[in-house]
Amino acid sequence: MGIAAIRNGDVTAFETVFRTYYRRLCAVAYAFVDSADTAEEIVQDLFLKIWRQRESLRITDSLQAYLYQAARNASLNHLKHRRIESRWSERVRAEDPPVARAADDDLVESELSRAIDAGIAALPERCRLVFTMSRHQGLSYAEIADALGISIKTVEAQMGRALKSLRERLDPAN
Amino acid sequence: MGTKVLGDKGHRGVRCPYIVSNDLDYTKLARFLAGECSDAEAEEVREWLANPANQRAFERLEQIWRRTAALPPQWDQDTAWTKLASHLDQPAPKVVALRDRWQSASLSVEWWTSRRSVVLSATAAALALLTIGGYAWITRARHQATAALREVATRRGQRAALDLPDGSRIVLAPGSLVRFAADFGTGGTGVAREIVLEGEGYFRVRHDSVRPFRVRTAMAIVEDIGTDFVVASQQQQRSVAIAVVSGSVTLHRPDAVAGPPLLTVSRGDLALLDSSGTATLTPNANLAPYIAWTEGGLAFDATPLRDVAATLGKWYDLDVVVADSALAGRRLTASFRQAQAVSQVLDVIARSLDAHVERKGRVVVFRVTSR
Amino acid sequence: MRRLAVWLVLSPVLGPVSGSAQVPRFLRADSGRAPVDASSTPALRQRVSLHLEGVTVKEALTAITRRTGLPLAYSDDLLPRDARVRLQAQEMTVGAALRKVLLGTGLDVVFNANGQATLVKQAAGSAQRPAAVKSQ
Repeated sequence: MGIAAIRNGDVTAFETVFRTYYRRLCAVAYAFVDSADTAEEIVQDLFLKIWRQRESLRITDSLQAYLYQAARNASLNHLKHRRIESRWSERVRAEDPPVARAADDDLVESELSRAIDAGIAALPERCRLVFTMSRHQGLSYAEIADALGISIKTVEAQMGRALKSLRERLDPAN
Repeated sequence: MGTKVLGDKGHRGVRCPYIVSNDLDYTKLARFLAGECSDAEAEEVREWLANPANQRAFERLEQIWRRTAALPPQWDQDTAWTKLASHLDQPAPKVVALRDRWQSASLSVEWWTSRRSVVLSATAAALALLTIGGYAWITRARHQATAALREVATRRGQRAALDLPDGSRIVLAPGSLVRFAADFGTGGTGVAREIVLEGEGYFRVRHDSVRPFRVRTAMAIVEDIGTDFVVASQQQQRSVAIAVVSGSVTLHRPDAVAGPPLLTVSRGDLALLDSSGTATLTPNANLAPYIAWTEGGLAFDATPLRDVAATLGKWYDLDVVVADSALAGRRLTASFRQAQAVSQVLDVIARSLDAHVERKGRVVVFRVTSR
Repeated sequence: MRRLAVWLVLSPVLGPVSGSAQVPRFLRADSGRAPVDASSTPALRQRVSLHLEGVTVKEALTAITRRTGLPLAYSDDLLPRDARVRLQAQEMTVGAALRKVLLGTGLDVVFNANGQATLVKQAAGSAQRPAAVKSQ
């Protein structure tokens, strides 16, 4: 089993585990920390720690669950210790090429996007995590469920909840 | 697979067409938008959409869905593995920030900074060890103590932070050194607290009106009047820069500390003393290039690439080469926050200067982009 | 809001623009250089109030970045040295402010995934020329 091999110092086994889980763990960390670089650092530090403590590695059930939990904990720890407010780490948003706008040397302010952003920030923690992992990172429901250690049904419900909350924010009368 | 229908409050268990507006099944529509629903469900939604009122409501959801799309980061696991693999066979480093509080006599700490491992043989009363994530900011400082003097020095790629017994604080840039008396701060009235600096340091001084705090470099003495400031002393160019974050300092020539100052430098000011001995003061200057590093960032202001390269080399312990002389003079203005990986910093610099950057281990090369 | 007035001393580097203003675009830092919708990028939507009169483009950029913390990188050699900018901004978005300041400079703003912004020269032939420059 992979874990036993790693405990024995088998680098190849370790590499396999690394390559299997790296991207998903980065996705988890990224949902918490806002900066892609920091997310990668967190995951790499995590793997390094696992390697260094491999002899005392004790994983009773799923390796996957263990890794996801560890990534979550490391991310939360990082948030706790982060010293500098990172105002500028918001992600760059992608959009379909905009419909041709009237030529204008000023920006048309979009109330909509502002409201949406505010709406996302106002979502309850888990709901926001699920929603941003889906929309910002393009993860599937199954991937989100694995990453956060919840059921797919919960993911579905949270996505619905987020959508409802955002919609009601935009159309309060309706 | 039961269909959960939220809209049919009066008909539990029986499927009904959705009631417009208030009772949308958001969970189902979210699944539909996310592409996570079954074919049968998708068909149901499409039937539902045949009603124009539903269509309108759905458009709103679609709009929200579109606008919340974002660029997922590209996780480069090959590079990540290569980086990780290079650390696997090394013993766990005691890579730490050193905050050094000592009582004058009982401390005798010595360690030497081989590449990755640090051996501590300390009888220190209170050594606080903290971890700072990110290998770019390894902060082990060489510390020597003799009977009379203490010295803390950093190498390329290292910073150090120390709290002095009087409550003042120094953050030392890479490749720098501070030296001070073992009985620092304990002298009687009028006995100055003096620090010798080679290189670059940030000083947050605990004000003491009867014991002036002085930073002495080869070119100048900077005396505190209760402040946060940075002194950057350039050995080769024989110049000194002083940036004051808060409070005021006075600038003197090394042999003339008792006399009137060359300059008084106050909050937001930048003072430069060049090799000819000329002192200039720029009020309300852009201090970012001088102080960004104290928070782990880096800033440049119209800095030629050759100097940017030297700074990057010092801060990240890299060998940075500008391969084309046409590039060396291109000027960069930029500021980088803490926790940006070197690769990102290099990419941004390359993009700004329309150059190509390549990194192999510790060697970084900037070239003109081939057309 | 007053109208922006920009006088440019044109250098050969900028190409034969002969007075028509080039609109700076906001782009992603990938190979496609896809456009970023400034109105849905938080970094660009932050609001700033500034009153700058007859300052250089560099001074205007410094004022914006100092006030807002926007991490902006650029080569000073790309900025027009002699052009003067007037920016009377009252709670203007950063995106709008940048577009005013960079109008006619032939530069685009490129964002990487971490939100770091860089100024780059617009590729020849791809600069947009608006049909009209509306006053505020």
